[in-house]
Amino acid sequence: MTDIAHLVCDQVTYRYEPQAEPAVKDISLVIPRGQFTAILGHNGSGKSTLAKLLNGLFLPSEGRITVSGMDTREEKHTWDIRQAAGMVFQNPDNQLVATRVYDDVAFGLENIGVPTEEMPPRIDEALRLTGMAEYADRPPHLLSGGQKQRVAIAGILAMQPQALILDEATAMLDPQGRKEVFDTVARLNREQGITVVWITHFMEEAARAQRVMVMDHGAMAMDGTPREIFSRVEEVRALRLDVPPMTKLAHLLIARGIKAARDVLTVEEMAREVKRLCPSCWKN
Amino acid sequence: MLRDITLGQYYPVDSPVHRLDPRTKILLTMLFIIAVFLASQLYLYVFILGFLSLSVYLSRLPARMIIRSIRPMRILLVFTFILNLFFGTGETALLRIGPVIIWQEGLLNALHFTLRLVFLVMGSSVLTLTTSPVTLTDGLETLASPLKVIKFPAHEMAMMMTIALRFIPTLVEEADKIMKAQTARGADFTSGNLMARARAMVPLLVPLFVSAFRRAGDLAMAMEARCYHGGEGRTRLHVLKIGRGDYIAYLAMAALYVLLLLPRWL
Amino acid sequence: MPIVLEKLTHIYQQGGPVATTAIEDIDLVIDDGELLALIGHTGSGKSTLAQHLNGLMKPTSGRVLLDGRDINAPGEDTRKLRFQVGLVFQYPEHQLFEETVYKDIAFGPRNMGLSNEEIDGRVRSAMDMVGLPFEEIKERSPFEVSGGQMRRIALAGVLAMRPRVLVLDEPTAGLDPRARDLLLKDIQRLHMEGTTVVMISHAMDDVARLATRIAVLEKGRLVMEGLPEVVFGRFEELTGMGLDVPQGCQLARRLRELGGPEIPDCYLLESLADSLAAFLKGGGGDAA
Repeated sequence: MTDIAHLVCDQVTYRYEPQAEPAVKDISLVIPRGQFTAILGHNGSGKSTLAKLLNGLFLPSEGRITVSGMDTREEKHTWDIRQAAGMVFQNPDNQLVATRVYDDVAFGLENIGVPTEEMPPRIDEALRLTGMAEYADRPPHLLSGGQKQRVAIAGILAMQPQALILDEATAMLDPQGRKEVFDTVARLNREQGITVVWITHFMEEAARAQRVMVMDHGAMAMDGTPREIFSRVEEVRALRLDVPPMTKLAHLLIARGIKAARDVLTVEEMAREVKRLCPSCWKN
Repeated sequence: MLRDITLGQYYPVDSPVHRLDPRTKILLTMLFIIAVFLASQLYLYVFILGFLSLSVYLSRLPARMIIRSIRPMRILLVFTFILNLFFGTGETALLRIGPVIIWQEGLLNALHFTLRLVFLVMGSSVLTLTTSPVTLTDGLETLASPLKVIKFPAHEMAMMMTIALRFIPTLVEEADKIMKAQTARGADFTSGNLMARARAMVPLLVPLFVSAFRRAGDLAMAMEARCYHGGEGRTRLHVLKIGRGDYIAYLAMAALYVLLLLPRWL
Repeated sequence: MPIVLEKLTHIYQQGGPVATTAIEDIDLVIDDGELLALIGHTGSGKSTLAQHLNGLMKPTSGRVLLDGRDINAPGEDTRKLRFQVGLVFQYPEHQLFEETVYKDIAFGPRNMGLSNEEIDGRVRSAMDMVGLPFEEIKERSPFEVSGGQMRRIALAGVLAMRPRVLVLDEPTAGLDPRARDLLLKDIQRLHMEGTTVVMISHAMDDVARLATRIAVLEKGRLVMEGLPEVVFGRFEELTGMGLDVPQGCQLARRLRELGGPEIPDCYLLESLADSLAAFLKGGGGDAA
């Protein structure tokens, strides 16, 4: 694939009802191949709607969306687009279809008409990549939330997608499940070059993305690297969101007259910042 | 815990009967039921019993599981027996207890009907004990697919069954949780008359339905996102294949029919 | 001393082939007016423990005492005692069922057999406590409001029973940052006004903000218990159990590891900022 622009929105507006207030308003964006993008925004900001527009579950009321150059409005592309841009949803219980993990991973392959004999290697590979191989024979309802989400991801991977769109896939998970799922997706992004659109409420997840977009009232309010976005603490707060704890700490220090950097994101960076501010305070 | 509920009564061991094609098992079960009704003389049930015992033996099912399968039917069985025994009429009286006469024909009918019911239930139990619900669904779908010409939605029915199987444990767990949550708000599901109890179910049923609808909506969206668009052009992970075992099973069934029908021709 | 747990043990399917011990030998006192956070891995027994506090589950062995009375003793009216300990389950909005917000919140008080005036008063004050505008939404369907509001309606439904102890299982799970913030403020206010609160949570930053005491469960046993600074001070043990630690404490530990300053109050960002700022100013932070 030579095209750099992978997911493209061109002045996209979406209304659930013809007369209704648009849920997504005049959004234009380009997500390059292989990028890990996080989308933030409070409930009702339009981020889930945008996700569903990106793989053709919803079609734009105005404007145009292309996935690898395919227009989502053209019916002949519908299945290619959904295969190319797989989607993971919030509730881990409500997206698995089969009574056995292995069969569930096969579901997508059956839908796109993959010949029976080609299925097992693709299913095995998908289960391996998500670390779920040893659970192949389990019924989904006996898995943890994080494991169910990894099965959902495996079901998409088997279809060999180029992009993964995760719509608050970690919102209902415990911290361990969240880490499992995030690490799995981050690894797929890194090692398989899969483009990731990660919709979340968790600032620490967004802080680990390459790019952060913030949505508000259906429009794109901010777009930049995590460092750029989170250093604008007041703006982020005005959008009813939070900043990562260490960014917050940096700003508390600034308010107390310390000349700390505004764009600290992680514990490690904060430790380095303290060291920079007081080189003489260290034993070695 | 409720999480561990298993559906159906599938008994997961490996056996020649388990390995049979589900279509074969469904067809054979139907043929077996017809066979049970073909037994015109009492002694012919010996062949039926023999066939059943052989399949239970080959399926490596514990015999007590088969016997236990008639337990839920025991009241019906007793009822059938008594009804035929006391209310049948005939020519040869066997016993007189006051005004009640037990006729020979009545006794025979009672035995016939009761045995038929017992074998019917036991025979279908062999099917459900040796075939997982998913395989059973696969078999039904394939068997019903010729009916697509008359617009019978074979694939859709099968998909619905699969989804039901997948979601029943989830919904059972959810019902338990909602029940607890309402109990914590002072709901009382266990006392009062029938009317009061029916009313007490509202706080359980409404949230359960709301949740089932929400799940259905989510699932439909997720299936669409995974390129589901009905049975058209769909391939399958599990392809059903008729093998040697299946032919042997059909032959055995044919033998049973010969044994049952022979007395009629002789 | 409202709740005392004595050697509390619960075994699922005891005697069966798959008997599992959910909680074992737990001794714990929940004092009046405290906000106790119950933390632990999924499956550590937190929810099972919570369901014993109002008699929804019966212990396999051990006792639950409310004001010195065994709530499961024969002859005790568990249902009456239950009204004193309000239990809010995870995703409590999934239990809403009435046609209107008002009726749903009134469900608990109605089950208590209160008069209509009393019920009305309680519904109003419960809605007030969680910041729901009474006139505006009382006649609306509880299924037509926002997710955050649904959660607060469910909470109000329990508060309307005026429990002395409020037990919350993952109260902020699945909420967006703003709804989470509002709900945490409600919980904090309830606690300030005298309600004893037991809160199960995975969100350590929430726990750090609210808890007056923390109890840690692992594999059904109570392994740690104490003031937040004490519990969060035992960093290695917590992370060893796979639990999160507030980022402030992670920072304090990192600084210590690097041979830097000792920062005492790590678990609240404000106090951490205070000590860190004082240190940087005093220790020559501006001299560089």
